[in-house]
Amino acid sequence: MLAEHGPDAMIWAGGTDMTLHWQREKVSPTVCVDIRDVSQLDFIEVGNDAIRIGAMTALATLERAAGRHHILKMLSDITKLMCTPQTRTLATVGGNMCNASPAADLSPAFVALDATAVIFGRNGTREVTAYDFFVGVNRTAVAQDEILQEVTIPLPSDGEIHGSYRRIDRTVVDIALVNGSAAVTVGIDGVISKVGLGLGAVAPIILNAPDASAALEGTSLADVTRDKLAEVAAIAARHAKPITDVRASAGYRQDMVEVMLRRALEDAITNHGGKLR
Amino acid sequence: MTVLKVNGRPVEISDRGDRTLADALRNDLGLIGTRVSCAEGECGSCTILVDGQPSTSCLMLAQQAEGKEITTIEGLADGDNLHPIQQAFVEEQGFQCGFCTPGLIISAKAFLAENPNPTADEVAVGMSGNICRCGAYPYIVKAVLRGAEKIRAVALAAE
Amino acid sequence: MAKHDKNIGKGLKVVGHGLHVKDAVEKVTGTIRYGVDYEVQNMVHGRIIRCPHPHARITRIDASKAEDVPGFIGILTHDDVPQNDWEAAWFNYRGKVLDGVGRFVGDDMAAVAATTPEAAEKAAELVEIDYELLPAVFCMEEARKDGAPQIRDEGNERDPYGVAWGDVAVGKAAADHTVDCDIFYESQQYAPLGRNACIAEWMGDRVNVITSSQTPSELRDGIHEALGIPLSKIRVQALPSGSSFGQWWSNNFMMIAVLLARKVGKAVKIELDNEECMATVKRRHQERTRGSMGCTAEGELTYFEFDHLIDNGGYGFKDDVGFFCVDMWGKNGHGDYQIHGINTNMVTAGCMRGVGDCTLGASVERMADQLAEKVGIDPVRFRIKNQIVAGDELRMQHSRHNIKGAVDEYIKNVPEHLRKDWPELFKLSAGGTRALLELGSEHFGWDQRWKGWATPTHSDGSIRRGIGVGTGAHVCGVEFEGASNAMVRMNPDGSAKVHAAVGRQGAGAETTQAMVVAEELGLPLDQVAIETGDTDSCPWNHGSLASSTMYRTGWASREAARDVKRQLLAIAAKEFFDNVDPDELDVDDGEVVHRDPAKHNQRIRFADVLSELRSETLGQTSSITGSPRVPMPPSTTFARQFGAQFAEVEVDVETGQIKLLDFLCVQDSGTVVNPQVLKNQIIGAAICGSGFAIYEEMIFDQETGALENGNLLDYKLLRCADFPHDAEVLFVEDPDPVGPFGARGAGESPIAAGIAAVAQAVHNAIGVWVDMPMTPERVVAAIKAERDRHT
Repeated sequence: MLAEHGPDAMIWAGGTDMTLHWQREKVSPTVCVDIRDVSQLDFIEVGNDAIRIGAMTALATLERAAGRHHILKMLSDITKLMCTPQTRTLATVGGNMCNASPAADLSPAFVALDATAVIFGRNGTREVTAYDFFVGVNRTAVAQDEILQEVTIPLPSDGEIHGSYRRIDRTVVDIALVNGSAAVTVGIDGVISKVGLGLGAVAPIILNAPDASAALEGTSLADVTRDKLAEVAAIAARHAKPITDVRASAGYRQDMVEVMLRRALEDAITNHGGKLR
Repeated sequence: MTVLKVNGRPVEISDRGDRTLADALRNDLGLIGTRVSCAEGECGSCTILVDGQPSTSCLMLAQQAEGKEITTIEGLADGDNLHPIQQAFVEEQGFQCGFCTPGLIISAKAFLAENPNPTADEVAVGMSGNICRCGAYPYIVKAVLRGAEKIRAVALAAE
Repeated sequence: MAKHDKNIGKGLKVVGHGLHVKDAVEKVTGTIRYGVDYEVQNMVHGRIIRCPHPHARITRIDASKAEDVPGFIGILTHDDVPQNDWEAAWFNYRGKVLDGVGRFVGDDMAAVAATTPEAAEKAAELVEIDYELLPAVFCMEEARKDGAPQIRDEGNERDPYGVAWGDVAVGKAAADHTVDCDIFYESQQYAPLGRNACIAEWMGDRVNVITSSQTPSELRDGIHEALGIPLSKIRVQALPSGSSFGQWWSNNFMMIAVLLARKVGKAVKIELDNEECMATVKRRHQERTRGSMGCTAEGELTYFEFDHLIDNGGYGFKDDVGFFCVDMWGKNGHGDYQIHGINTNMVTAGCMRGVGDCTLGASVERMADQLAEKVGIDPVRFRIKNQIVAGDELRMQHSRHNIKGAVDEYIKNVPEHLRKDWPELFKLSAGGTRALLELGSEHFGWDQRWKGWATPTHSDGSIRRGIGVGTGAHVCGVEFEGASNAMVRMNPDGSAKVHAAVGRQGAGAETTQAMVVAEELGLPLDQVAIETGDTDSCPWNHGSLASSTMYRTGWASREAARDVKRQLLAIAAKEFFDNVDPDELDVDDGEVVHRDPAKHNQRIRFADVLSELRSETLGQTSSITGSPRVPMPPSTTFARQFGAQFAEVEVDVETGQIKLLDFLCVQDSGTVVNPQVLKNQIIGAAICGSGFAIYEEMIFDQETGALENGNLLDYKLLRCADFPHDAEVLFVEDPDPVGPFGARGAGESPIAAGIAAVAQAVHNAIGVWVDMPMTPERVVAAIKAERDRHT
């Protein structure tokens, strides 16, 4: 159907963003392909090596999955910050990703967790990293005749991963003015083997910061200090290219993305049982 | 025509693909208790239950509701007998102008279905998807807590 | 002179009880109808075409493409409109309905009618309009300068409005400490939940207008002015509104609906969408206070001096905002305030709840706090020392024009024998902040929690907590635009109907007015119904504005009920009580009784009295109609309401985020007619004030003045979990000698008190003052500026 109608056809997931885009005349589809009730895309699977989340999983469903894995608890806590309870029942994980808002809440976490987006098309499925998934504001790697099928979060085989997400908001229901997420993997030897970072609302896409990650990788959990994490956050924040808009100035965003990353890193280390000095 | 079930009865709405469910409920079915204010999912005035789940009907296309069970504020009272949450909103005056009230009561119903014995803090967070510009919030929290008590009392009596 | 009787309002049967509001069931079942819910048969839909430029004149309108839209019916342009100025209450709008000039982005330029809202929207988009662009100005200071673009024929600036007393030079000389201020306030938006719509339907040369309005009579007056047709041919049926706060009085879109309906010969409904409500109707002014204030080493104020600017936008025409902080802090002998109303090419600004209280009042509170900090007195004691109590002189009488002159004129025209029971004029009749501060500080535990100025009560990492107190005052309605009237009719069955044209925007007037009448007539509340919206049945009333509903309309409703009672007892005395003096009789639970049951122990149902009712001219009649028989004393000269609020906040000094942790509201509105209604209203004010203090701000495009955050995603309103759900309201009920059963006004002092409390609490938490709204970004910037100042 998508191939047949070309750009006039649009995928309608929960529709919470699309209805707004349509009302504001940002999109004007002649055909809406409603995939909200495609049950094959509505699942959360916890495996030994990965957590798989179907694209049509409602945010409310993800919110309720907190007890199934501590990474799902992290994602559940993020969904509680998203829109309102009555919109979370409609909105979907895949829809949120495909809307590709730079201020999206789940996206920086997916980037930090080094998640993979599984994209389905006429020639079968293909995979891109969460980082590569976002191409621009409201633009993703999904082609016109493809749909997002699922998001896969890899779990380490020889250690443990913990993550955290922090954002600046105003009232209890808000869009993030700026946000940051960190995911830290610690090997069974107690050494940090992998650090993922995601920076949101500071560029058209969700940023990562490999140099900052590298600055922490290889450090023993017991040796991590607050100063060290502040240094890592500062390195990461250098990647930010924020703009000034109605919600915040570029300067505030630049300063706060560093604070958010530092706090997210501190949370992640604390979740590992690390004692910060 | 598209068929859906509203407040327990099958109804038909026009097939137009370009309108929201809130619009269809208000204009095709005259269910004006579903209020529309912001029309972008922020204020919660248009909250209804779709298969028991609270949903912003301003962000749903009417066609998306095909085959679903919809509950609006008009479906809560049993004749002249108010739903316990409605009764609690009357008793605590959990409103001022009343515009946001149906959406809040529907949100409260869904919230209490998941969490029948909440703390006041939980209620406050649970009701934060609905804006009350008049600022009746503390009385809304009291009303939801009182509504929870009433529902529990009814359930206890039925046992 | 009336004695200050502290027992007024005590021990009553209806008044003082937290009865459920009359429309509660309608509200919880969703059956109550607002403007947007109303329809009339065969109506069509109107859509307003809005100006895309900040200042422009139409040179050509071509509707030919719009005419091709299926369902198109007609277009209204400035050529179809009588070129009469109309005025909303308090100069909230002054101008023509359409005159071919756009004065802000979003201004009304024309309107189309079509069979459906969608067709109307499509047609409106297809109307081609060419404009001659005119120079525009957005900043008040720029608009005042010579050579600035002129927005109105009358010029951009109103005559300054001022209040002055004593000699400021003397007050300055007596001051040991002084502080200066220059504070800018962003515009708050009503952000009305519920939008509004207006239906206009002509029947011959008469028009019926159905819309949500707080001021049915003033809306009728406006239509009369705009169209130049007799008042008798205009009927307004005002419906309940969503939250209004002053937005839905009389608005230009209602005038457009009336004219469009006449043009197309059909009933027309215009419904505003959310963005139109936020961006094109009205807002709180942008304001700027510059001034100074001084006190002695002991903390007694010696003077204050302010120059305050308010921005009226395109069609506001106000020259003043609330002066009530003048009165509240007016114990000192020397003061001089000036207010300047200035037009700009921004959306019209007008009265929003607590007009002036939230801005000028907040400036005064901040400066007073800064003085208190200098002399080392805590803010509760500083207020008690310097704020007025009953019996103190009110400074608003020392107005350079308008108030004093108008009041003098009013008084002069009232015969002396009707003035004998009036309270002493130009002095506060009752109440004051002292009792509020004493009760509130005890309940809040102020003395235990206070750690000193600019000292957090708790500190942990980047978290600082602080407490604060604020006060607010407001008039209880005003008399200058006419005396609010009400009518009460007793029906043959003994039930009563009140006709009082007030607003139903959630403040419970439909219930509390009826309670006043029920109390006076000795009827249970369910025997009293009320009509608030229909100008064909209600006498002229100022409507619900300026905190006047309970005080001024409540007075009129009670006087009207008294008039009914007087007539009822006269008949009863003659027909059932052997011609006793009617004063020996009373009403009780729907029956007439003798005050001394030993003399007459019979109880006569009102219905039985009414069945005996004879009129000297008409013979048998079936009902009694009552109206106020005496003039109301000029309440601006003696009546004020007061609020004091206490707040605790938590600030993250690294991110600038503020949380409200604790809130206590203490209110003196005289006798509380319905505590449940009033508590709700006071808390609502505290929440609206807190929103103004920390988040609410209209953000305008610097180049065009267009609103950039005309939506509820980026115009931040507090939500349920943003405000302490255990916030309490306490009352101090110092009864008023004039208000019904001792009641006074209530709606506006509490919003000002909350703003000042939150601002001070933030200051005490982080050691710096932050301009409002205290958004995270502003808090961080203020902390940084203070740090830079010290390094």
